[in-house]
Amino acid sequence: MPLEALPVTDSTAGGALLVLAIVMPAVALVALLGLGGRGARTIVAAALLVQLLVAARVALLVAGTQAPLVYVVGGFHPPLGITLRADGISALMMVVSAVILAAAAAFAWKDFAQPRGKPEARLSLIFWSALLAMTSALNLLFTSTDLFNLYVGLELLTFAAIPVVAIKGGAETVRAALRYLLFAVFGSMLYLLGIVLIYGAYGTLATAEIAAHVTPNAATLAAAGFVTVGLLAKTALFPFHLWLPPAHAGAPAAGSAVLSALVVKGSLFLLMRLWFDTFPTLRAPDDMQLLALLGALAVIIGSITALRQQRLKLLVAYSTVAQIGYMFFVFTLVPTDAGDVIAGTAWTGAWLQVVAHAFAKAGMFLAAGLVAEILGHDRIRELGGLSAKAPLVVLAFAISGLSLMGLPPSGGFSAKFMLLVAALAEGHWLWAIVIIAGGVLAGAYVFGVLSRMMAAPAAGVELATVGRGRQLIALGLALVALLMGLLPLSPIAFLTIGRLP
Amino acid sequence: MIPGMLAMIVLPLAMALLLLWAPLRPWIVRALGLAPVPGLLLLPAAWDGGYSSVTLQGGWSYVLDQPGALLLAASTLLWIIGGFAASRWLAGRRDQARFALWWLLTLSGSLGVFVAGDVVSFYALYALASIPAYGLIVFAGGEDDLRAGRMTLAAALIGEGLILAAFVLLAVSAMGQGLAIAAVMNALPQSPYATIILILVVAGFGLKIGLVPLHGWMPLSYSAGPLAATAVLSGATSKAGIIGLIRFLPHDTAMPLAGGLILTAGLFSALYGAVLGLTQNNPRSVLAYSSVSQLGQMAAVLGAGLAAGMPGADSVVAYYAVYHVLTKGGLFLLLGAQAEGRVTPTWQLVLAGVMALGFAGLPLTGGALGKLAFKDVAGGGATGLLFALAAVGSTVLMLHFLTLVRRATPSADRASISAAAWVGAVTAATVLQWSLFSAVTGVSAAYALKPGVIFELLLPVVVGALIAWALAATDRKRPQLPPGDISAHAAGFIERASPRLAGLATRLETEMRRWPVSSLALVVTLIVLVAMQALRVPG
Amino acid sequence: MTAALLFWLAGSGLIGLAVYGLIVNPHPLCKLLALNLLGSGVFLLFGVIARRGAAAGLGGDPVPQALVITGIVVAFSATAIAVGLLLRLHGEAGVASIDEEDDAP
Repeated sequence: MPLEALPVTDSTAGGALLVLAIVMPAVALVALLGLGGRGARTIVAAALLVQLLVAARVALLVAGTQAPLVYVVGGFHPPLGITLRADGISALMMVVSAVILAAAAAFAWKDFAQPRGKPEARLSLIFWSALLAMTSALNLLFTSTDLFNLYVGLELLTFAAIPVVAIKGGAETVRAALRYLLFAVFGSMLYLLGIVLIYGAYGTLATAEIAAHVTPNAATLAAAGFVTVGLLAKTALFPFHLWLPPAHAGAPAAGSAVLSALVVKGSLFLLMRLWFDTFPTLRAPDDMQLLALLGALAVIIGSITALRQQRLKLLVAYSTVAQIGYMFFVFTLVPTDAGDVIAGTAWTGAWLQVVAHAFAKAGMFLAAGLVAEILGHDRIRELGGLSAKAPLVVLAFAISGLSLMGLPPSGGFSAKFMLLVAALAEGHWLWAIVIIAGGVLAGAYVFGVLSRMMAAPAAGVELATVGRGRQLIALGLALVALLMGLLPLSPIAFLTIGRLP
Repeated sequence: MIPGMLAMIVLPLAMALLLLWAPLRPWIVRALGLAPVPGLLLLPAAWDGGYSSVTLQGGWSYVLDQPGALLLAASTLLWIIGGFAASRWLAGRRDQARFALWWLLTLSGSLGVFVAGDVVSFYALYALASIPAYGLIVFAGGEDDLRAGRMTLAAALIGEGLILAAFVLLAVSAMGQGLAIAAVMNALPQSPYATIILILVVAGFGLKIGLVPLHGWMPLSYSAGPLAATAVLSGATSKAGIIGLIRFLPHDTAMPLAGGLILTAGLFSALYGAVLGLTQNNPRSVLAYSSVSQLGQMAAVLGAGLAAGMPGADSVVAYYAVYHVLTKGGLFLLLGAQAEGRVTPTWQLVLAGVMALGFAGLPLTGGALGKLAFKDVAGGGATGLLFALAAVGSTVLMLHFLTLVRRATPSADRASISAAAWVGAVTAATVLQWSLFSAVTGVSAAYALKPGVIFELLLPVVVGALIAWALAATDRKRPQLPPGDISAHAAGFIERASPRLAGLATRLETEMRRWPVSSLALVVTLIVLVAMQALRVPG
Repeated sequence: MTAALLFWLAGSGLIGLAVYGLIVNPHPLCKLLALNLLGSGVFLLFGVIARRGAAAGLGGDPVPQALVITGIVVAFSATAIAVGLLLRLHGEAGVASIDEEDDAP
């Protein structure tokens, strides 16, 4: 297996930040387990604040130098060593996940408190450690350039998500967690199988070197297939979403927000990384129609199913199934000739969809959690009286819904508009119709819920009060999705920084 | 102008936001009539016919031209009058804040859409004018209200989808030239998608103006909900569809075929609405059919203008619409003013009769001026005859409405809208129409006083009156149809069928969620994916 | 038949067997065993790859071996978590089944 020497990239200034982003939460996790639950929240708060600063710094450096940050771990270059690399999309996702994790932690602050004088609750320790583990795993996924290393990140992410799903206890949630775990491990085994084939064919697992040598031979095609379906299972693209609705609906609100907004995006990020940066020459947009087809089914069937749900959290979870579908159009819509305006439009649209959905869905799950807390249930038929009792919660739900429906101004609109422009410019009429129909259906389910929330309360219903702070967190996340709509509707250069041509 | 445009959009939204704060709620409800006031700053533009525009950061742009200013002037006045009527009607109601919220959102969109200068702003404001109306219609929460609300929401969402498709195709056609309406419309004639864009535009906005056969939701929607809300929805927000057609039909290029088709569709709507309206026994539903007819005529004139390539059609249609905005709104307010058990004073019936016959072009009314203004665009010959027939139909329909109003036994709910509201609205319609005539047509308003002109206008009204008299004299029972006739019937069919379709989708989803099915699908996907790739690569 | 080919076939056979079991066997414990089998198959393939690296004159390519060790740790963790969940599910519900009692609307 002769490898012609690639230009060796050395660590860039600030590259060590990437190590910090991955290692620091892990160190905090160890500290957490060592020190026990008393100081858990303080450690998590400190770690997530540092995380915010690190992510912001990474993004600023990438934007400032217009080049990716690189760190060669231990000075060992690939193929033996591992290189961490943050390009535009990595930096973007690092910032997004740092913000949403911090918001979720703030939201869960009281729920998973460890009051003095009471016996230590294992649950809160589990929640906070899971949050830290997710932080580390996500950063690893966003920055690693080694396929096996990415596998470890993927598994770490799943293992961190499982306890969050199961934390409430009860047969239903444990069953959901088990389904999730088994299906996700199935997916990662398929991914691992793909990696074996790639290593066998190229003798390396470094994405850049594979990209430089990739040829469409049988082993590579099979490997790409295994890796792709493995990641589809983890991303819960229809019809591989069997685990998602019960898992996301069963977790506590802050957990659902992180699961829906970030965890499914981890494997999606990897999938995009693979097809656009690792096997770029292998991707024929026409062959990717299969993924677009599944995406389209996800949009339509997910939305219709959401429309028919009777519980708010399940509705929001099915909305995630639908919204994930939109992201899969990108594999077809980005033409192979780089530098094309359409390519930039589709690429930007897809990332806007990822980010806008992350914020809108996090805001919506937090709002749904507050709804359940206020009413003591989340039956959609009996949501009456909410608007009078907690208008901020309804507002947060409405604004998130605006973005999911794709009405301007919102990130969801910008994303959908750009995906539509790309779809129609390339003559993909069917996908365009699906994108529009998905918006109409989303309008129906969001509005259905909103009008219930506005209705008069049923007689004799006791409504609990929830803190203003948590309402504002949900609202703040929704507002980010809204404000993204003020971005101009043109390709964003930041998203292409450091991408392999 | 520019601060006025922005204030007009932002003030209602800001007031809606302030509803969050409970102590302010009663004050905001009381001030509903003040929310549209910034729109008054833009009133002069209706006369001077100037053009001003502003582009904000991020490409959001707003323009004020004569068609927009005309529609805006009338709508602002109607929203002010309606706002005060609504405040009074809401006084002391427990759920007034909810009404105010939907009202203010609709208001912002309804006025803003007239000044939107780029595709995204237009889309956003159009949505705001269409979707929150649902909350107003279902306000009382009755079974009929809910059904009407569902229909209206479905029409609004589907319309949104259609115009979004049109807008994206326009953006694709004008790739790289920005999203200002002027820019994308410049690219339209050369666009390979011109035909489909036109179809989407006509269908999307046609849904809003109830262009037959897309009219089914309108009689249902206008028959439900509080009358103050129906007044502004029928008068002002329906014009979002008219401004949509004005903005998104080409201006400088003559398109005889497309224009001819729109003209035909509009005239068909005009006659259809007038005739089918006679089958209704609810005055609100009759007014809705009259709207179908009137808005159809406006679409027809726009079609005639497109066929002939006359950009001036925009202004005359907007001018004609001014009368419809305030008078249609006024007639709904009249229904709200009818107090329980008390007979409507004769002078009010006479005034209402004159104003209603204005839709048929009764001389000296504002409606007559509107018809005179678009005569040149609409043309003579067969088209002129059809417009005259529509006027005859309008006469019969409006006389039918008046008999219903005289007989009506209003429900208790309507009682608290003051008669001043509707009288104010129709007066404003007349004043605006007379004072704007020369500014729009360039001809002195004295033209409308010439005996020849009066005779020509009077003829259809007299014929219509004779027909109405004959119908009444024969004393035959009129056929009766459910509101929305075949279109509502079709919609009802879809409504009944859709749960079954949705049930099918959810059953499929449940099936796919079973472990063996899903995991087998994973393996199948793997095989298909690899096979597709392998087949592409030779060898 | 070379040893590499034999191992290759054995690994593939294990994977096929495991995927079949994973799809058709409803009991979660069996699914878990199938997943472990799947893992073993994949690790075997790693071994084959490492042997092929030996052609370059090394005693064996060390990278796949390192990967297998890590992979085994990950698979072990997954198994541990799954067993924990299974026991808890059995405790809470009395049966350990991941089929949903049809809770579809």
